[in-house]
Amino acid sequence: MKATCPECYFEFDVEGEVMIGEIIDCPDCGVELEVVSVDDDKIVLQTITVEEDWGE
Amino acid sequence: MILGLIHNRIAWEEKEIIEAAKRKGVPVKLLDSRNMEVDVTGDKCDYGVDVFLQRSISYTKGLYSTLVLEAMGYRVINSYKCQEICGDKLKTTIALKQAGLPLPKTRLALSQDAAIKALDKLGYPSVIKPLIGSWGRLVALLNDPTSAKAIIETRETLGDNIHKVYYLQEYVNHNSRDLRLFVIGDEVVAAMYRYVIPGDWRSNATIGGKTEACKVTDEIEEIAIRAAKATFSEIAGVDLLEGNGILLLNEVNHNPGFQHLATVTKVDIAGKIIDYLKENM
Repeated sequence: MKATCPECYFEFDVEGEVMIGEIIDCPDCGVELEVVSVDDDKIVLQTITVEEDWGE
Repeated sequence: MILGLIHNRIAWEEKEIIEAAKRKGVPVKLLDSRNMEVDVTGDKCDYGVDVFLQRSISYTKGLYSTLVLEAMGYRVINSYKCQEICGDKLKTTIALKQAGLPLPKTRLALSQDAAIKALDKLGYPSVIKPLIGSWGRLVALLNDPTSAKAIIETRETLGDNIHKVYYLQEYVNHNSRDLRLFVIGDEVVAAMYRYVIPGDWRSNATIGGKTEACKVTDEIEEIAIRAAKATFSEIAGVDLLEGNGILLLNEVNHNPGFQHLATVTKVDIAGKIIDYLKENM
Protein backbone atom coordinates (compact mmCIF):
# COMPACT_ATOMS: atom_id res chain seq x y z
CA MET A 1 0.00 0.00 0.00
CA LYS A 2 1.09 3.57 -0.77
CA ALA A 3 2.05 5.99 2.00
CA THR A 4 3.51 9.51 2.07
CA CYS A 5 5.64 10.82 4.91
CA PRO A 6 4.05 14.06 6.20
CA GLU A 7 7.48 15.31 7.24
CA CYS A 8 9.64 14.80 4.14
CA TYR A 9 6.92 13.86 1.62
CA PHE A 10 8.75 10.69 0.68
CA GLU A 11 6.40 8.20 -0.99
CA PHE A 12 6.86 4.57 -0.08
CA ASP A 13 5.14 1.20 -0.10
CA VAL A 14 4.10 -0.58 3.07
CA GLU A 15 3.90 -4.36 2.87
CA GLY A 16 1.59 -6.68 4.78
CA GLU A 17 -1.20 -6.01 7.20
CA VAL A 18 -1.31 -2.51 8.71
CA MET A 19 -3.27 -1.50 11.82
CA ILE A 20 -4.68 1.88 12.77
CA GLY A 21 -2.48 3.30 15.51
CA GLU A 22 0.51 1.35 14.26
CA ILE A 23 3.91 3.07 14.35
CA ILE A 24 5.87 3.11 11.10
CA ASP A 25 9.28 4.72 10.57
CA CYS A 26 9.69 6.77 7.39
CA PRO A 27 12.33 4.89 5.37
CA ASP A 28 13.77 8.16 4.15
CA CYS A 29 13.90 10.61 7.04
CA GLY A 30 13.42 7.98 9.78
CA VAL A 31 10.79 9.90 11.72
CA GLU A 32 8.23 7.83 13.67
CA LEU A 33 4.78 8.05 12.12
CA GLU A 34 1.38 6.78 13.20
CA VAL A 35 -1.17 5.13 10.88
CA VAL A 36 -4.41 7.11 11.13
CA SER A 37 -6.37 5.49 8.30
CA VAL A 38 -6.08 2.56 5.95
CA ASP A 39 -8.02 2.55 2.68
CA ASP A 40 -7.84 0.00 -0.17
CA ASP A 41 -4.48 1.04 -1.43
CA LYS A 42 -3.53 4.03 0.62
CA ILE A 43 -2.34 4.62 4.19
CA VAL A 44 -2.60 8.02 5.84
CA LEU A 45 0.17 8.77 8.33
CA GLN A 46 0.65 11.51 10.90
CA THR A 47 3.64 12.63 12.92
CA ILE A 48 3.62 11.73 16.59
CA THR A 49 3.53 14.21 19.44
CA VAL A 50 5.18 12.65 22.48
CA GLU A 51 3.11 13.63 25.47
CA GLU A 52 4.50 14.48 28.88
CA ASP A 53 3.06 11.40 30.54
CA TRP A 54 4.45 8.92 28.03
CA GLY A 55 6.88 6.34 29.29
CA GLU A 56 7.85 2.70 29.33
CA MET B 1 -9.07 -16.91 26.01
CA ILE B 2 -9.71 -13.64 24.16
CA LEU B 3 -7.16 -10.96 24.89
CA GLY B 4 -7.95 -7.28 24.93
CA LEU B 5 -4.89 -5.16 24.16
CA ILE B 6 -5.28 -1.62 25.44
CA HIS B 7 -2.96 0.83 23.73
CA ASN B 8 -2.69 4.34 22.48
CA ARG B 9 -0.27 3.42 19.76
CA ILE B 10 0.90 0.13 18.30
CA ALA B 11 4.66 0.17 18.49
CA TRP B 12 7.21 -2.66 18.10
CA GLU B 13 6.24 -4.30 21.39
CA GLU B 14 2.50 -4.29 20.69
CA LYS B 15 3.09 -5.74 17.21
CA GLU B 16 5.21 -8.49 18.79
CA ILE B 17 2.46 -9.25 21.32
CA ILE B 18 -0.17 -9.40 18.58
CA GLU B 19 2.07 -11.72 16.51
CA ALA B 20 2.82 -13.94 19.51
CA ALA B 21 -0.88 -14.21 20.33
CA LYS B 22 -1.61 -15.23 16.72
CA ARG B 23 1.14 -17.88 16.87
CA LYS B 24 -0.35 -19.25 20.09
CA GLY B 25 -3.94 -19.23 18.87
CA VAL B 26 -5.11 -16.38 21.10
CA PRO B 27 -7.58 -13.97 19.47
CA VAL B 28 -6.75 -10.32 20.18
CA LYS B 29 -9.11 -7.34 20.30
CA LEU B 30 -7.44 -3.93 20.10
CA LEU B 31 -8.77 -1.15 22.33
CA ASP B 32 -7.31 2.29 21.68
CA SER B 33 -7.59 4.11 24.98
CA ARG B 34 -7.85 7.40 23.08
CA ASN B 35 -11.20 6.28 21.72
CA MET B 36 -12.59 4.91 24.95
CA GLU B 37 -15.81 6.50 26.09
CA VAL B 38 -17.33 4.69 29.05
CA ASP B 39 -20.66 4.82 30.85
CA VAL B 40 -19.29 4.74 34.37
CA THR B 41 -22.69 4.75 36.10
CA GLY B 42 -24.41 2.39 33.68
CA ASP B 43 -24.24 -1.36 33.09
CA LYS B 44 -21.06 -3.27 32.36
CA CYS B 45 -19.91 -2.82 28.78
CA ASP B 46 -19.27 -6.14 27.03
CA TYR B 47 -15.95 -5.88 25.22
CA GLY B 48 -16.01 -9.61 24.44
CA VAL B 49 -12.68 -10.05 26.19
CA ASP B 50 -11.52 -12.39 28.97
CA VAL B 51 -8.49 -10.44 30.13
CA PHE B 52 -6.97 -7.08 29.24
CA LEU B 53 -3.28 -6.33 28.83
CA GLN B 54 -2.57 -2.67 29.50
CA ARG B 55 -0.02 -1.26 27.04
CA SER B 56 -0.98 2.42 26.83
CA ILE B 57 2.24 4.41 26.63
CA SER B 58 0.36 7.33 28.17
CA TYR B 59 0.46 6.87 31.93
CA THR B 60 -2.76 8.81 32.47
CA LYS B 61 -4.73 6.97 29.78
CA GLY B 62 -3.40 3.67 31.02
CA LEU B 63 -4.25 4.36 34.63
CA TYR B 64 -7.82 5.54 34.13
CA SER B 65 -8.76 3.08 31.40
CA THR B 66 -7.67 0.35 33.81
CA LEU B 67 -9.68 1.90 36.65
CA VAL B 68 -12.95 1.90 34.74
CA LEU B 69 -12.41 -1.58 33.29
CA GLU B 70 -11.64 -3.02 36.72
CA ALA B 71 -14.73 -1.26 38.08
CA MET B 72 -16.74 -3.20 35.49
CA GLY B 73 -15.20 -6.42 36.77
CA TYR B 74 -12.58 -6.97 34.09
CA ARG B 75 -9.14 -8.34 34.90
CA VAL B 76 -6.44 -5.98 33.71
CA ILE B 77 -2.69 -6.73 33.74
CA ASN B 78 -1.12 -4.77 35.22
CA SER B 79 -3.77 -3.70 37.72
CA TYR B 80 -4.72 -0.14 38.62
CA LYS B 81 -3.13 -0.65 42.04
CA CYS B 82 0.16 -1.65 40.42
CA GLN B 83 0.09 1.27 37.98
CA GLU B 84 -0.72 3.73 40.74
CA ILE B 85 2.33 2.59 42.75
CA CYS B 86 4.78 2.13 39.90
CA GLY B 87 3.78 5.40 38.25
CA ASP B 88 4.73 7.44 41.32
CA LYS B 89 8.34 7.19 42.47
CA LEU B 90 7.52 8.00 46.09
CA LYS B 91 4.83 5.33 46.27
CA THR B 92 7.23 2.89 44.66
CA THR B 93 9.99 3.71 47.12
CA ILE B 94 7.66 3.31 50.09
CA ALA B 95 6.33 -0.02 48.81
CA LEU B 96 9.87 -1.31 48.22
CA LYS B 97 11.06 -0.06 51.62
CA GLN B 98 8.14 -1.77 53.38
CA ALA B 99 9.18 -4.99 51.61
CA GLY B 100 12.66 -4.57 53.10
CA LEU B 101 14.38 -4.11 49.75
CA PRO B 102 17.68 -2.26 49.19
CA LEU B 103 17.22 1.35 48.06
CA PRO B 104 19.31 4.44 47.44
CA LYS B 105 18.99 6.96 50.32
CA THR B 106 15.91 8.98 49.48
CA ARG B 107 14.39 12.06 51.12
CA LEU B 108 11.19 13.93 50.48
CA ALA B 109 10.68 17.66 50.89
CA LEU B 110 7.65 19.82 50.26
CA SER B 111 9.19 23.25 49.99
CA GLN B 112 12.25 24.91 48.54
CA ASP B 113 13.89 25.44 51.93
CA ALA B 114 13.12 21.93 53.11
CA ALA B 115 14.58 20.55 49.88
CA ILE B 116 17.86 22.35 50.51
CA LYS B 117 17.96 20.95 54.05
CA ALA B 118 17.25 17.46 52.70
CA LEU B 119 20.11 17.81 50.22
CA ASP B 120 22.45 18.93 53.00
CA LYS B 121 21.70 15.61 54.71
CA LEU B 122 22.00 13.54 51.52
CA GLY B 123 25.17 15.32 50.48
CA TYR B 124 26.34 16.08 46.95
CA PRO B 125 26.03 15.00 44.27
CA SER B 126 22.41 14.07 44.63
CA VAL B 127 19.60 13.49 42.15
CA ILE B 128 16.22 15.18 41.86
CA LYS B 129 13.46 13.28 40.14
CA PRO B 130 9.85 14.17 39.32
CA LEU B 131 7.36 11.97 41.16
CA ILE B 132 5.73 10.99 37.89
CA GLY B 133 7.70 10.67 34.70
CA SER B 134 9.70 8.37 32.48
CA TRP B 135 12.56 8.30 30.06
CA GLY B 136 14.72 10.41 32.39
CA ARG B 137 12.51 13.42 31.91
CA LEU B 138 13.18 16.16 34.54
CA VAL B 139 15.72 13.94 36.29
CA ALA B 140 18.65 16.15 37.19
CA LEU B 141 22.02 15.66 38.82
CA LEU B 142 22.60 18.18 41.59
CA ASN B 143 26.35 18.63 41.89
CA ASP B 144 26.44 21.36 44.52
CA PRO B 145 24.22 23.69 46.54
CA THR B 146 24.34 26.42 43.90
CA SER B 147 23.10 24.24 41.05
CA ALA B 148 20.59 22.58 43.36
CA LYS B 149 19.10 25.92 44.36
CA ALA B 150 18.80 26.99 40.72
CA ILE B 151 17.09 23.76 39.67
CA ILE B 152 14.72 23.82 42.62
CA GLU B 153 13.80 27.43 41.89
CA THR B 154 12.95 26.36 38.35
CA ARG B 155 10.73 23.57 39.62
CA GLU B 156 8.83 26.13 41.71
CA THR B 157 7.87 27.90 38.49
CA LEU B 158 6.61 24.85 36.63
CA GLY B 159 3.03 25.52 37.64
CA ASP B 160 1.85 22.00 38.44
CA ASN B 161 2.12 21.56 42.20
CA ILE B 162 3.37 18.03 41.80
CA HIS B 163 6.69 19.56 40.71
CA LYS B 164 6.96 21.13 44.17
CA VAL B 165 7.06 17.72 45.78
CA TYR B 166 10.80 17.15 45.96
CA TYR B 167 11.90 13.55 45.62
CA LEU B 168 15.63 13.63 46.32
CA GLN B 169 18.01 10.74 46.14
CA GLU B 170 21.67 10.12 46.80
CA TYR B 171 23.68 9.83 43.59
CA VAL B 172 24.80 6.21 43.28
CA ASN B 173 28.07 5.75 41.47
CA HIS B 174 26.74 2.94 39.29
CA ASN B 175 29.64 1.99 37.10
CA SER B 176 28.14 3.97 34.14
CA ARG B 177 25.44 1.35 33.72
CA ASP B 178 22.29 -0.02 35.30
CA LEU B 179 20.44 -3.33 35.04
CA ARG B 180 17.00 -3.77 33.47
CA LEU B 181 15.30 -6.99 34.48
CA PHE B 182 12.10 -8.17 32.87
CA VAL B 183 9.88 -10.01 35.35
CA ILE B 184 6.80 -11.99 34.33
CA GLY B 185 4.98 -13.59 37.23
CA ASP B 186 7.60 -15.33 39.37
CA GLU B 187 10.38 -15.34 36.78
CA VAL B 188 13.08 -13.01 35.52
CA VAL B 189 12.76 -13.83 31.83
CA ALA B 190 15.45 -11.49 30.49
CA ALA B 191 18.08 -9.07 31.77
CA MET B 192 20.43 -6.52 30.29
CA TYR B 193 22.91 -3.83 31.21
CA ARG B 194 22.10 -0.35 29.93
CA TYR B 195 25.12 1.91 29.62
CA VAL B 196 25.20 5.59 30.27
CA ILE B 197 24.44 7.70 27.23
CA PRO B 198 27.68 9.34 25.96
CA GLY B 199 27.88 12.85 27.38
CA ASP B 200 25.11 12.11 29.88
CA TRP B 201 24.98 10.42 33.29
CA ARG B 202 21.68 8.61 32.78
CA SER B 203 21.21 5.22 31.19
CA ASN B 204 18.07 4.60 29.21
CA ALA B 205 17.82 2.39 26.15
CA THR B 206 14.87 4.32 24.78
CA ILE B 207 16.92 7.54 24.63
CA GLY B 208 20.01 5.91 23.23
CA GLY B 209 22.07 4.00 25.80
CA LYS B 210 24.12 0.95 24.67
CA THR B 211 22.79 -2.38 25.94
CA GLU B 212 24.29 -5.78 26.69
CA ALA B 213 22.82 -9.04 28.00
CA CYS B 214 23.47 -9.61 31.69
CA LYS B 215 23.79 -12.78 33.79
CA VAL B 216 21.05 -13.10 36.40
CA THR B 217 22.53 -14.10 39.75
CA ASP B 218 20.38 -15.55 42.54
CA GLU B 219 20.64 -12.22 44.37
CA ILE B 220 19.51 -10.22 41.33
CA GLU B 221 16.61 -12.60 40.70
CA GLU B 222 15.44 -12.49 44.30
CA ILE B 223 15.48 -8.69 44.48
CA ALA B 224 13.73 -8.32 41.12
CA ILE B 225 10.92 -10.74 41.95
CA ARG B 226 10.41 -9.30 45.43
CA ALA B 227 10.27 -5.81 43.89
CA ALA B 228 7.61 -6.92 41.40
CA LYS B 229 5.57 -8.50 44.18
CA ALA B 230 5.93 -5.45 46.44
CA THR B 231 4.41 -3.28 43.69
CA PHE B 232 1.71 -5.78 42.65
CA SER B 233 3.38 -6.05 39.24
CA GLU B 234 2.70 -9.22 37.23
CA ILE B 235 4.74 -7.89 34.32
CA ALA B 236 7.48 -5.45 35.22
CA GLY B 237 10.69 -3.84 34.17
CA VAL B 238 12.81 -3.70 37.32
CA ASP B 239 15.82 -1.37 37.33
CA LEU B 240 18.80 -2.02 39.59
CA LEU B 241 21.96 -0.04 40.28
CA GLU B 242 25.28 -1.64 41.21
CA GLY B 243 26.53 0.91 43.72
CA ASN B 244 29.90 0.08 45.38
CA GLY B 245 29.22 -3.65 45.10
CA ILE B 246 25.71 -3.36 46.52
CA LEU B 247 22.59 -3.84 44.42
CA LEU B 248 20.07 -1.04 44.88
CA LEU B 249 16.59 -0.81 43.42
CA ASN B 250 16.04 2.23 41.26
CA GLU B 251 12.61 1.79 39.75
CA VAL B 252 9.82 -0.63 38.82
CA ASN B 253 8.15 -0.01 35.47
CA HIS B 254 4.64 -1.36 35.03
CA ASN B 255 4.52 -0.96 31.24
CA PRO B 256 8.06 -1.84 30.18
CA GLY B 257 9.35 -1.51 26.68
CA PHE B 258 11.28 -4.61 25.61
CA GLN B 259 12.51 -4.12 22.06
CA HIS B 260 16.13 -3.61 23.12
CA LEU B 261 15.90 -6.35 25.72
CA ALA B 262 14.41 -8.89 23.32
CA THR B 263 16.98 -7.99 20.66
CA VAL B 264 20.01 -8.19 22.93
CA THR B 265 18.95 -11.35 24.81
CA LYS B 266 17.11 -13.13 21.95
CA VAL B 267 14.33 -13.97 24.45
CA ASP B 268 10.77 -14.18 23.07
CA ILE B 269 9.38 -11.80 25.68
CA ALA B 270 6.10 -11.26 23.83
CA GLY B 271 5.58 -15.03 23.67
CA LYS B 272 6.25 -15.37 27.39
CA ILE B 273 3.73 -12.59 28.09
CA ILE B 274 1.05 -14.46 26.15
CA ASP B 275 1.90 -17.73 27.91
CA TYR B 276 1.57 -15.97 31.27
CA LEU B 277 -1.78 -14.45 30.31
CA LYS B 278 -3.10 -17.86 29.22
CA GLU B 279 -2.10 -19.41 32.54
CA ASN B 280 -3.13 -16.52 34.78
CA MET B 281 -6.18 -14.87 33.21
